[in-house]
Amino acid sequence: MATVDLKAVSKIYGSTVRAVDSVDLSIANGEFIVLVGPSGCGKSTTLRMIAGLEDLSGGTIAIGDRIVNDVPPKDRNIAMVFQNYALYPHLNVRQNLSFGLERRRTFKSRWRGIWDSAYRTQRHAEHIAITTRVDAAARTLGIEHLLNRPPRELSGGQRQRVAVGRALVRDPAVFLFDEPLSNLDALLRGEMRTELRILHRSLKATMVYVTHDQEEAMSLADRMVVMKDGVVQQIGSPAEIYERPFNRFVASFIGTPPMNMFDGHIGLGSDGEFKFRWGKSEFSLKNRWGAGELSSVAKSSVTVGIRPDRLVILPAAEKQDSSCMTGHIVTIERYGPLADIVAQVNGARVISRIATDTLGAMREGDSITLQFGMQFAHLFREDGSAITSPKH
Amino acid sequence: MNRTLWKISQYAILLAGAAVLLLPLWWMLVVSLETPERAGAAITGGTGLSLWPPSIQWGNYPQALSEMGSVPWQGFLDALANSIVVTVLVVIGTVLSSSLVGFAFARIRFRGSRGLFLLMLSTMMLPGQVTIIPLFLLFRNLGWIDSLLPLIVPAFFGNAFFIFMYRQFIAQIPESLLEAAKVDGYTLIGIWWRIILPLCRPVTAICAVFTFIYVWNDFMGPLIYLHSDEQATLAVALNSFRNQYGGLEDVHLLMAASLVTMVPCILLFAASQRHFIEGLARGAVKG
Repeated sequence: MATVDLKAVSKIYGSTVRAVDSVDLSIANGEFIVLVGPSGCGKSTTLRMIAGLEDLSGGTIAIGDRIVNDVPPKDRNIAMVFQNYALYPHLNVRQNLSFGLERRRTFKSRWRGIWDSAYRTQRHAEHIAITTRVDAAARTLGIEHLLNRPPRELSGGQRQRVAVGRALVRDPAVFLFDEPLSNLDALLRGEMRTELRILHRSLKATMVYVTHDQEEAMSLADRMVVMKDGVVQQIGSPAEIYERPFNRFVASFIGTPPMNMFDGHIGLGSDGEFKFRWGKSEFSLKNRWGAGELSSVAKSSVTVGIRPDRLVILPAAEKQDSSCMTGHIVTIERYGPLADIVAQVNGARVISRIATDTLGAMREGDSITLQFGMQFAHLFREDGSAITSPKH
Repeated sequence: MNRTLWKISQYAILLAGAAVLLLPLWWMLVVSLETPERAGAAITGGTGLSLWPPSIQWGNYPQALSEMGSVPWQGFLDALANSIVVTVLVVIGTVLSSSLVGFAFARIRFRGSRGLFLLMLSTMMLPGQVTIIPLFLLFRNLGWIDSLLPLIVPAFFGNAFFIFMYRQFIAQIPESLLEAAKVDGYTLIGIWWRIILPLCRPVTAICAVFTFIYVWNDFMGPLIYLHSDEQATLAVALNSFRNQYGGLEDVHLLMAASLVTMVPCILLFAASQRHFIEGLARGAVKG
């Protein structure tokens, strides 16, 4: 159990490539933190620096109260689960699990027990202790029946469990996961996700988890760290990040299907209120933002983002007002109870997610009316930063 | 029909090839079991050999071995012991040093690693004969002449070709395995011993068998560095055996002793051939 503190942590390759750029992150004891971002965003490098597998170019990392910049991985009291499992192919599952414990034995010598009977007794007791711990970890993960098998005889999911078990058995202060589920098929991934969550709850251990899959991040994290180009974009609970993204990147990266983005600008309407102008239409913004926030971006380009489930698509002509636009349906993708309508409106492609049973008679190619749910909209400045809404 | 014919011709070609390769071995075996008269006649071309000797002389073998060297049996046993000591130590030394250096070249980034690797490879281009005199002078200065040390010690400094082989193999082992071991608490030496060496079994098998056969049969090295009978290895002892009989008259004994010398190599090859095709790295990662 430990906290992890990253202060201005940087990794620079060569002299110019900033893989990780001044990351500040405080991880509480027992917290499940997920680092998420597109590939090459520096999330894995950050994790590997916490593990001690990469040197820092700048900043400090502390585990507990101790700054570990120059501490080798073995002395950091961490365990890591690798993307490709990294099981030792020449050892069976039991040996894989106990490999780290064997290294840490106090009574290591195989030979001394021959003449030193006290040593022999202690060594035996230690051996029993290791066996017990391995058995307990195997029971937790449901891999007891695999203990005598070599890794090559295991399925992907079983290998994944062994990899987690190898970390578990060590009882480390911090668990590090480097995209551990990305090699599993979708069904198994969901299953393992649930199990990891349950495991975290029962162990109450600090866990740092790296993934490029934002859904995985949302479902696992206590708090998530969204990264891009080595820079932290936002840190917060999944709900916070989903509801109040700090910038356009976070908004479009988190959430499936991605947020619809409409590039327009803010102008003053005939009634003296600030309106969002997109194409030939105007949308009132007063339900969400005050005049103060809006005046700061008046006449400049802005982007309005609306999540697909907040964008309502209605059959054409059913209802028309200033918050509506017309277009036509490009395609409909059904996912059981939910369906995504992809529509072409005003030259832009938008996605709306609705309950399948509200689809009615809508078909591909039909004309539709698009209703903006402005009270759920996000507003981004030209530089991508969000204009936060006090009325949220 | 066509396929059967194809199969038959395949086997015919393979059998013919095998027969050609086995011919000298058959000749050795037959001569070693012949009476001295018939064996001598076969050499001088008086009469040809039959496919199998009409009266088998098993006694040739103990006679050949006992007459090796000046004291009965002693010469053979000395040479056998020397050969075993040299071969076993050289095999161990070559495997340990080559895998360790190969590991360093494959997995440790250090200044000048590339240059050193190229330098090491370039030593393979140097013909062995070129280094005979400088090496002899070096070992003479160390006072190692007429001891087994000049044959054994260099093996512990690696062999360029096997270092290269180990390096290529180790470069294919996923980095994450080594990182997992680092996190598990192992040092580089620990990783080499506990992970790299076990995973390199196919390379080690090749390295060990080739080294064994080369050292066991090596004639040049022992001939240069060893002078006394007690230090001779089997390959050299065989040679002195031939001189002792002045060439051709006891060819049946020479062949018997030669065959005995060959036996360990043949056994070793038969026992280890499955390792050549074994790939242990399967199952390490997803796949």
